[in-house]
Amino acid sequence: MMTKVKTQGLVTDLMPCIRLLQAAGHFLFNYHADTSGMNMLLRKIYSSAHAVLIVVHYICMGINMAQYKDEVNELTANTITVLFFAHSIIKLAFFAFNSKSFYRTLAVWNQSNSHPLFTESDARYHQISLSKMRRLLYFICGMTVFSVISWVTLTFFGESVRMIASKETNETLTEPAPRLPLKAWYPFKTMSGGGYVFAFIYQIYFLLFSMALANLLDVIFCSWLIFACEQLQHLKAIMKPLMELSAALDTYRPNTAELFRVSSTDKTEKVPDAVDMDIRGIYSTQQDFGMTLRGAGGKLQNFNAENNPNGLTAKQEMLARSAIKYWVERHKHVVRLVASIGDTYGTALLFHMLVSTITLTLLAYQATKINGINVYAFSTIGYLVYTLGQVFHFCIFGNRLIEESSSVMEAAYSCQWYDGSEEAKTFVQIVCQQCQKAMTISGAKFFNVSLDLFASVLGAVVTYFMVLIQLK
Amino acid sequence: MPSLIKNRIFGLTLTLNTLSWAGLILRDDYTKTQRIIMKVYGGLVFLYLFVFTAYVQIADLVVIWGNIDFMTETSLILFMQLAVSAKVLTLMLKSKKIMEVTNEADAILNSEKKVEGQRIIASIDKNTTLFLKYYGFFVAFTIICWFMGENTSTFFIRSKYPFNELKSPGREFAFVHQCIVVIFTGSFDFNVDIIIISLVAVCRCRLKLVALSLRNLCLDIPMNKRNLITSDEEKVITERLRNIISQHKRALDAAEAIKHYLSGALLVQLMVSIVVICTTAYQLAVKKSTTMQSLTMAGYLFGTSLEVFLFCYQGEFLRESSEEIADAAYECPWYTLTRPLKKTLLIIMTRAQRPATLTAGGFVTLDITEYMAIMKASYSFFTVLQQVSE
Repeated sequence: MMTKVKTQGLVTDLMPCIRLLQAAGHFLFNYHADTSGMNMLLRKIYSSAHAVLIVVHYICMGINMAQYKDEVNELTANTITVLFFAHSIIKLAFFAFNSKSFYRTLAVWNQSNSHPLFTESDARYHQISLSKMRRLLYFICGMTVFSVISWVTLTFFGESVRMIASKETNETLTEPAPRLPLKAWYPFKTMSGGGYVFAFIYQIYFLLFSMALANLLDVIFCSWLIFACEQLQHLKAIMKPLMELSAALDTYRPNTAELFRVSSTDKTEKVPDAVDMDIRGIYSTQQDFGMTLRGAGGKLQNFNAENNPNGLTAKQEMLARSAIKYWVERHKHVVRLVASIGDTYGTALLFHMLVSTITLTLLAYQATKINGINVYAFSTIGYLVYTLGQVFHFCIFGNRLIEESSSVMEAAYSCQWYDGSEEAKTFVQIVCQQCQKAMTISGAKFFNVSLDLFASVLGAVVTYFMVLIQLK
Repeated sequence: MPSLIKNRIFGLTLTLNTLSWAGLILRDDYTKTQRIIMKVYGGLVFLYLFVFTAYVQIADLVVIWGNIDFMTETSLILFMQLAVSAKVLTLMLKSKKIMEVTNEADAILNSEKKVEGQRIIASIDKNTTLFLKYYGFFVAFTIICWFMGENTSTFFIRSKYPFNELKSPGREFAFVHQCIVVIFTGSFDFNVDIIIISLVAVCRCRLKLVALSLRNLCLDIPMNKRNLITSDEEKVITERLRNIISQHKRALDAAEAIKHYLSGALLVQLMVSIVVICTTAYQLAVKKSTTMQSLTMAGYLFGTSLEVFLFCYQGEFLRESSEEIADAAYECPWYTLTRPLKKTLLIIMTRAQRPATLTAGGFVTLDITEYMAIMKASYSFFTVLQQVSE
C-alpha cells in the first residue's frame, strides 16, 4: 500500500535509518510517498505522542530525584540516570528545531557529477560505503536492544531497595522500592499489582525508545561521515589513472644525433620564449619522442606531436582536463558535504560532550564505591561502558575523516606526477596545498571530533577515579 | 559643531560618537586648537574617572589592611578598573591611528557594490549589533545591581577621600563622584569593548569580501568545451586577480595593525579577568552573603566571562575568515585557468595558510581553545583558593 517514494543521493542510501528514526518518534516528516494532509497529521500526532510520553517519564524521574535529594548516594545515582536520558531529550529537541539543516545535508548529494572513465570506481566505492552504513546500523540497533535487555534482566537481581541514611544512628538503612528498571515517581502505587505491570511496561518502552532516539541520530551522523570518507577513497583511487592519462613518456630515449643536429627546416634555432615554455618547435621528429611506453594501451603510443609538448593529442589533452575537472568538482562537493555536516550536527555534539563529561565525572565517583561483583558493580560499569561507547562512536568516525582527508595530499604525491604534463603537475601542486589542512568536524568550534577527544575524556575519567580512590 | 562620526557598522557609530563626546577619541575634522582642547578635556576625564578613583581606593586599602573581606571587595573593583583604564588609555593614545584604520575600512565597505558583498556586510553588522545589545543589557543590569546593593561603604565604592566625606560639601562631592564613576566606568568599558569587537569584525568583513571576490573570479566567463580560458579572458582574470591580491594585502595589513594596537590592552584584560573570575567564584562559593551581593558577584563573574568570550570568539572568527581565503581560491574553477594564473592562486593559498589572529601581549592567540584554557586556569585557581580557605 505504501508507494515507493522517489529518492536520490544520500536519502536513498540512508532510507532504513530514516525509517527507523520516523518509527522512533523523531520529528522527521519528509521522504514519504504519500503527503496527504490526513497522513501527515497522523504522523505528526505519532511523533508528538512519543515526545509527550518520553518527556512525561523524564519529568517523573526528575521528581524522584528531587524527592530524594538529601541522600547523597541516591542523589548521585539519580543524577547519573537523569543525565543519561538527557541525551535523548536533547537530541529529540535538537532534531525538531534543526530539521531544516538535516534535510539540507541529506540533499547535498542529490546531484553529483560523473565522468565516463571513473564511473566504475565511483560505483564500487559507493557500494562499499553503503555496506558499511548498513553494518553500522545493524550493530547500533543490536547494541541498543542488547542494552535494554540486559538492563531489564539486571532489575531482577539484587535487592530492590533504596539506601536511606538514618539521621539518628548515621548508618544506611534500606527502604523497599519497586522492582523496576528505573527509579521514578508515579502518581499511582507501583509496589505490586496493576500499577506495577503498567509502570514496568512503560519503563521498557521508555528505555527502548529513548536509547533508540539518541543512538539513531548518532548513526545518521556517522553514516554521513562514512559516505564522505568513501568518496575521498574514490578520489585517491582515481588519482593514479588520472596521472597516467596526462602522462608524458617515461621511457624516452632521444636520438643523440638528432638532438644536436640543426634542424634543416628551421634556419634559426627556436629559443624558448622566456614567458611561454613552448618547446614545440625544438623537438620535431617522432624519434625524439621515442616510440615505446609502458603498456598503457594503444592510445598513448601514437605521438603525432601536432600541438603539444607532452605528446598528447588535442583530444587526449581535453580528456585529461575533463578528468581533472571531474576530480576537483567532486572534491569540492565532498568539502561542501563535510561543511554541511559540521553545521548541522556540531551543536548537538557540543551538548553531548557537555552532558557526558558531567556524567563520567559522577560515574568515576560511583566507581570508587564498588565493593564486589554485585548489581551495583554491573550497573556502574554498564553506564560507564555505554557512555564511553557513545563518545567513541562518533570520535572514531570523525578521526577517520581527518585521516582520509589529510591522506589525499599523500596520494597526490605518491602517484606518478613527475610523468604527468605540466597541467597535471600544477593540479597536484594546488591539491597538495589545499589538502594540507584536514577536514574536521568541530563541536561548535570548541573541540574537534577525533580520537584525541576520546583519549582526553578517557584520561580525565581515569584521573578522577585514581584521585578519588586515593582520597578514600 | 562637528557632525557625527558615520560608520557602516552600527556598533562603531554608536561607540565612537559616545567616546568622542567624552574626549577620549579625536575626530578627524577638528582644527588644531580644538584638538588641543579635546586632548586636555579627555586627559581630565581620564584623571577624574580613573586616576582619582584608583587613588581613593588605594588610600582606603591602606586603611583597612588586614580585613580580608573588605580588601577583596576593594581589590576586585580596583582590578576591573585597571582593565578598563588600560583599554581606554590604549584607545586615547592610539586614537589617530585607529581612526585611520577605521576610516579606510569604512571607505572600502561603503564602496562594495555586489549584492552578495552587501549581504555579508549586513550580516556582520547584525552580528555586532547583537553583541552590543546582549553586552549592553548586561552592563546596565550590573550597574543597577551595584546601585541597589547593600555596600559596606558610605556610598557605593569603598574609598578614602582626602577630605571629609561625611560632612557637606565633601559629602555631595564624594556622592557625585561615586555615581559618575559607577555609571561611566561601566559605560566606557562597554563602549571600548564594543569598539574592539567591531574593529575585529570589520577586518573579518574585509577578508570575507576578498574571499567572495576570489570565489567569483570566473563569474561571467563561460565554461567552454576545452575547459581552458581564452587569452582575452585570461587578461580579464589577471586584472581581477591583481585587484584581489591588493585587497587581500590591505586587509591583512589592517588586521595586523589592529592586533598590534590592541595587544597590550588585551593582555591586561586577560590577566584581570582570570583574577576576577576566580575571586568572584570564591566569594560566591565560600562566603555567606545576601541575595543582592550574591547577585552582584554572579553578575561580575558572568560579565567578565562574557567579555573574554566575546574577544576570543571574534579572534576565532577572524582566524577562520583569513583561512577561508584558501578555500575560496579552491572553489573557483581554477582548472580552466592557464598555468601562470594557477601559480598566482597557489601563492595566495599559501599565504592564507598563516592566518590573521588577535593576540594578547603577542604570545597568547585569542581563540576558543584559549578561552577554554582561561576557564580551566581560573577554575584551578579557584579550587586552590577554596583549599586554602578551609
